[in-house]
Amino acid sequence: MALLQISEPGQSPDPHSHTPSRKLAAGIDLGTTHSLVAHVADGKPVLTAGEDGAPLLPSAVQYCADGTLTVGHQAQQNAISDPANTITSVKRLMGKSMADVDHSVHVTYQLITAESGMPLIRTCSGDVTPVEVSAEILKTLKRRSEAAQGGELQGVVITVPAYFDDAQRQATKDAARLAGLNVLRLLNEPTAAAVAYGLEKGSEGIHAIYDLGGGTFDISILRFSRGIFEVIATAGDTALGGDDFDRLIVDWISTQAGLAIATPSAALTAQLLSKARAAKEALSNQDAVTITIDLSNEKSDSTSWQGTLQRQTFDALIAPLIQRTLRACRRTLRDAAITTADVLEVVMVGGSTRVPRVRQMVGEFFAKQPMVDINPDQVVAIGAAIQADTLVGNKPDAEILLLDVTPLSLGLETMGGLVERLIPRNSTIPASRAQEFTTFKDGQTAMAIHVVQGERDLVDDCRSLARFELHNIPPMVAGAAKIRVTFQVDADGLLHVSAQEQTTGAYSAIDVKPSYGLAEAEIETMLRDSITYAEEDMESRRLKERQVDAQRLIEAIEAALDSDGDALLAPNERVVIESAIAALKQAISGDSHHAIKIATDTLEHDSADFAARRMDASIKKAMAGHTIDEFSNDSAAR
Amino acid sequence: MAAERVLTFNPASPFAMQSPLSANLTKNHFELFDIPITFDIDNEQLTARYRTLQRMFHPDRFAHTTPQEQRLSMQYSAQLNDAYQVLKKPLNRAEYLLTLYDVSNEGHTVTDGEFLMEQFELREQLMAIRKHDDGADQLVPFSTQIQQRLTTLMQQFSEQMRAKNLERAQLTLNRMQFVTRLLDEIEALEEELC
Repeated sequence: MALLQISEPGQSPDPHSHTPSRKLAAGIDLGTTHSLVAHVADGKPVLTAGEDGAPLLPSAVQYCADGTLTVGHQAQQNAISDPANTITSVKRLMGKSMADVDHSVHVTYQLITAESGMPLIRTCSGDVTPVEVSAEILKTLKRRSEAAQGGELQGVVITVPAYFDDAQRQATKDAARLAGLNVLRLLNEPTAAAVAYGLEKGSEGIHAIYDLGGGTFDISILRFSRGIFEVIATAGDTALGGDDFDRLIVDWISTQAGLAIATPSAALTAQLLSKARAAKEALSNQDAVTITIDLSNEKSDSTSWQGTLQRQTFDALIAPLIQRTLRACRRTLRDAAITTADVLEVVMVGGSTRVPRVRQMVGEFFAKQPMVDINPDQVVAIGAAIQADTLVGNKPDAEILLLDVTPLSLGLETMGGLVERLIPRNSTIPASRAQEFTTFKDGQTAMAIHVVQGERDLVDDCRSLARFELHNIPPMVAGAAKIRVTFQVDADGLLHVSAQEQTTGAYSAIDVKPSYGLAEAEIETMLRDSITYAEEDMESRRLKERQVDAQRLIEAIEAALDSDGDALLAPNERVVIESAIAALKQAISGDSHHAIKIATDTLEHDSADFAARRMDASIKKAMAGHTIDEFSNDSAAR
Repeated sequence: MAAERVLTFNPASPFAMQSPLSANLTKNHFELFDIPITFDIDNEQLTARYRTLQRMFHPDRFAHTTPQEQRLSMQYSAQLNDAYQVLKKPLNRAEYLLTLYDVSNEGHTVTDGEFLMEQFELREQLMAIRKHDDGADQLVPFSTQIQQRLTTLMQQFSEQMRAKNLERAQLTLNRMQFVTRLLDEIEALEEELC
C-alpha cells in the first residue's frame, strides 16, 4: 500500500463537508496486544491515529480506585506499577469458561470464577468481565474514529480470528453492543487481510494467509477469482501467538537468573513480560540482546540480573510453537485438497510474523518467499475498513464479494454421548442444515437439545455451545413426532437454532447464547451501568436509537414501495403498509421509545410478505437474465 | 454452567408465520440454479450461476437494508451454498438425484456379494501396504487404481440414469459410496506415512 494515510484527530476536513449520502463506517481490528481503527475516505483506507499520533492502541485497560479508567499507551505503561488493575491480553479470555483458561499463562491480574463458570477480573473498582474490558477498548476506538470522521458511526466491521468459535464471536459482538456500536459484520482477520492485499494487487489465484498475532494464530487458504474471495479452508489456534514467545523468554530469564518462578510477584511478572517483549522485538533486527532485570524490590540475593539472549537461542525456544502453526497449515492444505505448489502467494499478517525465524520457517514450508508488503500490524484494519465502507451501503455496485467459511464443525449430542455433525467445518457461510429427530417415549412432550462445536466424535471432547429444552411437543406415541432441528450459521459465523414439530407446525427458535456467554439480562444491566451511558440519560439514549432505527426502516420500505409497490402489491395490501408507515412516523415524533418499538414491529410484520415477494421477484429476474447473457460476467472470462 | 434455557413450541410465535421465499424454498437444488436435472451437469455452468447468484443475494449485499431483507438473503444464500455443495461433488449429486426419484437407499447392499468380496480384498491390500516398508511408494499406484474404479462407476451411474434404470443406478451408487470410503482411508494412510 503505497500511500497509506494516517489521520490525526481534529485534523479531519470540515465535518459537514462530506456529502450527506455518505454514511460513516469504520473497520476495527480488536487485537490481543494492539487494536486499530480505520475508515475509507475519498476511496482510500485511512488509519486513525490516537492523541499520541500513532495508530496502534495497546489493548490495555487500567481500572482505578476512583472509578475512572485509562486505555491504551498510558495503561500499558502503568502495567508495571499497577499490574493488578491493568488488564492486558483480554482477548484470550473472551468467550471462555474459567475451566478453559490456560492457567500456565502468566497474568498479572487476579481471575476469579463467577457463578456461571465464567472468568471475572478483580480490580480495585470492582469485578469486570472480559466483555466489559473489550468494550472499553472499542469505546476508545469509536471515539477516535468519530472525532476523525466528524460524525457518528453508522456501523462497524470488527475482525475476529478465523478460528474463533461461536462463544468467542458472540462475546465480541456483545462487547460491541456494550460500546454502543452497530456491527455490520464480524469479519475473519485473514480474510480482511486478503481484502487489503487483493484490492492492491488484483492477483488472481490461490493465496495462503498466515496470521500470527499477539495471542491467536490463523491460516486461511483463499481463492481470488473474478472479484470473489472464496475461503476454501481455514485452521488455527486461538491460544497461540507472540504472547507465548514472550513467556518463553520469561521462563528462560527465570531459569538463567535462578528465580523461583512458582510465585513471582505481580510487579516482577509485569517487568519480566515487558523486558521479554522488548528483547523479542530487538532480536528481529539484531543477533543478540542484553537483558537487565531489576530485582531490588524482590527477596533476592542480588539487586539485579543481566544476561544476553542470542537470536539462535530464541529461535530454538520458539521453534516448537512455529512447528505447531505449520501442522495447522498442513491440515488446511489437506482440507482444501491442494498442495503448497498450488499456492501462488503466502501473505504474512500479524506482528509476530516480524520474527525472522517465523518468516524463514513459513517460507521453507511453502517453498516461496512470504509477502510482507503491507505492515502486518495494520493490514487487517485496512481490510476491515474497506469492507465496512461496502457493507454500510457506500458502494452499491461493489465488485468484490467475500465467501467465508465456518472454522469448526457444528453438531448435536445424540444417544451415547456421540456427536451428530450437522454443519461440517469449512462449510461456506451462511450455512443451513436441518435434521429430523423423534421422541422415544409414548406421550413425550419435551426434548433436550445439546449443541456442540468441534471435530471430535465424543461430545465430551467438543466445546459445549448451548443446551436447551423443547417443550409443548404434542403428546404422541413414541417415534411419531417429527421434530426438525435447523442449524443456521449467519454471515458473522454465529449459530442460530430453530426447531419445528412437523405434524403440528409448532415452531421454536433460539439464538444460541453460548453456555459461557453473557445472558441478555446481564448485557442490559451492563449497558445501564456502563460509564459512558451513566453520563447521559438512558431513556433518551434509547429513544434516539429507536428513532434512528425506525427512520432507517421507513426509508428502506418507502424506497421499496416506489420501485416495486405497483408491481407486487394489490391496492389494499399497499394501504396496510402505508398506514403502518404513517403510524410509525407518528410514533417517531412522540417521546415514547416503547411506542416506537411497537410501531416498528408492526411495520416489519406488515411488510414481511412484500419483502419476500421482492426477493422472489429479483431472484426470478436474475434467473431470467442468464438465458439472455448467460451470466456474462462469470462465463465470459473463461 | 449457565442455566439451561427453556423453549416452548408456540404456534402463535411470529416465527411460526415465516413464509418468505416460499417459491424458492420448495425448489430442488437443480431448479435453484436453473440447470437440467441430470447427473451429467455442466460444472462450469453450475459454478458460474452459483457465483452470479451469490454476488447478488449474499447477506453482504443486504447489510444496510431492513432486518427482514437481511434474514431473507441469509436464508437464500445459505440455500445456494448447501445446494452448490451437494451438486458440485459427484457422489453427493448422485445421492441427491436418487432422493428426487424417491428411490430408497436401503436393502440393496447385502445382495451385492461379488462386489463386497472385491472390496474386502482391496482393503486387505491396503492393510498390507500399511505394514510394508516402502508403503508410501506402493500407495500411489493403488490410489490411482481405485480412483479409476470410481470414475468407471460414475460413468455407469450416468448411463443407468439416462436409461432411467433406477434400480441399477442405486446399486452403482452403493458401490460408489464404498469406493469413496476406501479412497478416504487411502488418504488417511497417505497422511500417516508422510
